[in-house]
Amino acid sequence: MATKTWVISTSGAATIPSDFSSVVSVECIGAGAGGAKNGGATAGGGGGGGGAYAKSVSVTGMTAYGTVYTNIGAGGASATAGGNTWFNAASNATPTVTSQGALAQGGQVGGVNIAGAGGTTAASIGDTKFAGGNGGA
Amino acid sequence: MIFLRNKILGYTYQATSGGGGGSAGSSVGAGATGGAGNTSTNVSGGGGGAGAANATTVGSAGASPSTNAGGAGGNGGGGTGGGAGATSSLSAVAGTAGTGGGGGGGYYNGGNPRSQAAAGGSGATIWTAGVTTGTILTVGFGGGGGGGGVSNSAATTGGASYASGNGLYTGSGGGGAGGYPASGIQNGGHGGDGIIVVTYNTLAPRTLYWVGGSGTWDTSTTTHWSLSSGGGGGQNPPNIGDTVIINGSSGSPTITMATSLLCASLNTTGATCTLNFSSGGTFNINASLILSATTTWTTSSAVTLNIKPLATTSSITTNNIAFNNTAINVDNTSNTNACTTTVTGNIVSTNTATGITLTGGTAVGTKLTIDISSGSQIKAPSINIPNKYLGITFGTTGSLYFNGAIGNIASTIDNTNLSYTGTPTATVVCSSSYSQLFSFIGSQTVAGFNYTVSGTVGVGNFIMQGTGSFSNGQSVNNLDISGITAVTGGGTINIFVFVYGNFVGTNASYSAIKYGSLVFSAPSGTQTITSNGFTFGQINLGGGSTVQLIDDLTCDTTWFNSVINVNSGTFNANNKNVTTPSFIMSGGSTTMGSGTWYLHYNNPSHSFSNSSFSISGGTLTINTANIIIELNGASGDYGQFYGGGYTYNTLTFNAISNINYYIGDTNTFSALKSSGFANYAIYFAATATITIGTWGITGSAGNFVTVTGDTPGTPSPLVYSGTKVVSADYLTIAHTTVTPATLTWYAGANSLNSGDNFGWIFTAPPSPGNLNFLQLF
Repeated sequence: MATKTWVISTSGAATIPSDFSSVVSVECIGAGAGGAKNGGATAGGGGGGGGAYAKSVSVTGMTAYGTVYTNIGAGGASATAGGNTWFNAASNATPTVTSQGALAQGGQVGGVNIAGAGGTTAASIGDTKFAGGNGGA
Repeated sequence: MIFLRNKILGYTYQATSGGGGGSAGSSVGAGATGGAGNTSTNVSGGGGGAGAANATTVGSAGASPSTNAGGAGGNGGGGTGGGAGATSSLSAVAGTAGTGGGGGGGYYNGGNPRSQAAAGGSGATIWTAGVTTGTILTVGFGGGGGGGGVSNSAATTGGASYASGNGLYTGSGGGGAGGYPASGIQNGGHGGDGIIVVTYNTLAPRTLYWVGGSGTWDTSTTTHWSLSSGGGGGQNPPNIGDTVIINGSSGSPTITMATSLLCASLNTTGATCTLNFSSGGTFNINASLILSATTTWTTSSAVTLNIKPLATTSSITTNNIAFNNTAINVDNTSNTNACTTTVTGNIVSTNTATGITLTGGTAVGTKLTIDISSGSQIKAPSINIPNKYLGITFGTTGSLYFNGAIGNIASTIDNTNLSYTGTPTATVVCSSSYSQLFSFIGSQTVAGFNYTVSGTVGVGNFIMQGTGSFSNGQSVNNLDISGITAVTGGGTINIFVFVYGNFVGTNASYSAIKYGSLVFSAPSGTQTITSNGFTFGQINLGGGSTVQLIDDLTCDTTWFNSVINVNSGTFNANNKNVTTPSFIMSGGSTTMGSGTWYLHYNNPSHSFSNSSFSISGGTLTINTANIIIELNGASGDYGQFYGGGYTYNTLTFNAISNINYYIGDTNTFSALKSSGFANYAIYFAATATITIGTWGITGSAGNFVTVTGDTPGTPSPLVYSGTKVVSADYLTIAHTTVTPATLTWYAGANSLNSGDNFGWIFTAPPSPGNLNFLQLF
């Protein structure tokens, strides 16, 4: 038995690899926010917040050739928050418990001389969670 | 286990005068430094983008803008430093892929152009979507900060924090936009997308036997899978790690194949079976495929067979069964190893859409070598070789076979990372029902394939060329198209290749213009051209070999670019006749031999811009060859002769239209003649001296020939070196000075003196007796 990693970068239904035996972990990183616009003459825009991290080691219900559902948070354009990234082995919806998967919140947008906040642990789902970094301002 | 690299790399700064936006790359968890303010105008830089969190740390905040700095980008995780900050009037350089953000532009306090901050660099490619057993590095990068604006130019937006080229992004925040002192709002940089990584344990590989006769191979039916030959069923269907065996104990099954199947290996040795892809689909194998001669491969719709090795060796044994309607891909891009795939028997695809694709690895270390030295053919209408690291071991009997008889040949061969050993041989069978297009990318310095082409070319044409029309793209060793028996339906043969061996043409005739370019490129030795009546476009000599004619050579006299061009090496006409609109030699050597060189262009609808004959370098051996120039081009064309100072035999201008001729440099001719009947002119350069042993240029009533220098007031010198006199008639003469100046140059009673002439006598020559008397004085 070996361990493999399966990287998912697109949203939607995904087929579990044929050599899948058991899950070790599911890790999600939320999308980063876009940088803020400047304030015109003398004021720069704040950097966008980074995405949070969430990891679940208690996902159940996965078998080879089965289907899981994912959402890849889209990176924010200028002055736009980053999207949440989530994985759900049970249904095509955001997970609510770690047995279903994980969710990492995207970063928040800042403003003129205001830094965007990173994605938070409070808004994320996982057995292990870290917040994203705040943008500079 | 997933491995996460969370080391945070430090920023680097480089202070420069003036305030531009500085930025720095980082690994995941660190934000980029913001853009610097402009100290002279007190403009703020944009904020740095934040880092995403990773497995062990909270993401780091982006740094605030610095001042007085057009900073260099720092180290991106796994990448190198970002673009440097600008100074003076130079714009900052953006970070490139795999780097941290680009540095901001420095402020130039006076004059233009004002400097600009640079965009943040893209991040490194950190993940490849899909399943892998390799270590994954969560290498990220901060977005570049926005640059400070200057008085008359906009601030640069914050650099993006994602790799826009590969579609795989990370969750770092984008850099903010820098301030701008005059007006205008700039956008901040784009944040990176999120990502998911699933780590899982794999099943142990199994050897699964098909049992119980006919049935369905899909992803759910367990009836026919056993852990022992002829044993009981009940096992889960194969996964990508399993070996599948169908043998004599399987019950001679007809197996209905589902649309998406996979296994490590498939072996039907000893079995009589049918693999029935009734619904088409994809079949993935990652080690070996061994099929018995009594295996039948049937399809009702198109199937894709992917053989994607994961180890250092794999094998394909076909027993020559036909993979009907199956696109076959041998592909090493998923392999972390260099691999040799040994082929036994022919791989035959009758798929008319995509045929066979041979895809090597992504680097030298993952090169795929396909060994067909056992004599295997890789046979399909289309054999495509994309730019990957691929080797083919041909041995003495292996070959590629382009079977255009069953579909279009639309092959693309990228030579960039292709290598081969043995005798690379390709057989091409053309069909009038399909097109035959070989498109070659990249060039080779090795000999290339031996191509043997046969069949009938139709309206789809037979084309060998580089990317884009009319460009050389492929090296071939020997190219033999003598097997083309006919060209029908307005078809053509257009070949643009570098030839390292011999060329043999076809006698199949057709009326279209004959394009093409053969560049004979061998560094030494002798290369031969056997035309068999084939009409060429361009013949170029670019190597060090001797290119020798076996029979008469003809380049298309209706294509304005037709030419024999000798740059190096030796062109040996070998006493054969040569017909071409143009012969140009700038280096190397040419042996003209005893044949006739007929420099003929005949296309009044298109201007002919080349010289008919031009020697500007190299060594010319004329032997006994005579030259005829005949031009029937567009109005204003000239038949130009630049002989390079040699002594020629007979040069004849054959006038079939009013097109003029020109001798542009000093040469000697044993005879200079005209033929044909038309009103035309022969120009002589004022800077050249033409020495003539026999003057044979004369007109006729109603068809005057103009003999003239090219510079009024500077008569062109003509020297008679014969033992008699010049005798002509019906000439219009201007701007020439002839020697000997007395009693030699008789223009004839009907010729016209247009002035600026010296030495001509405008009468008929005296009778021989009187001539001898006069010459005494």
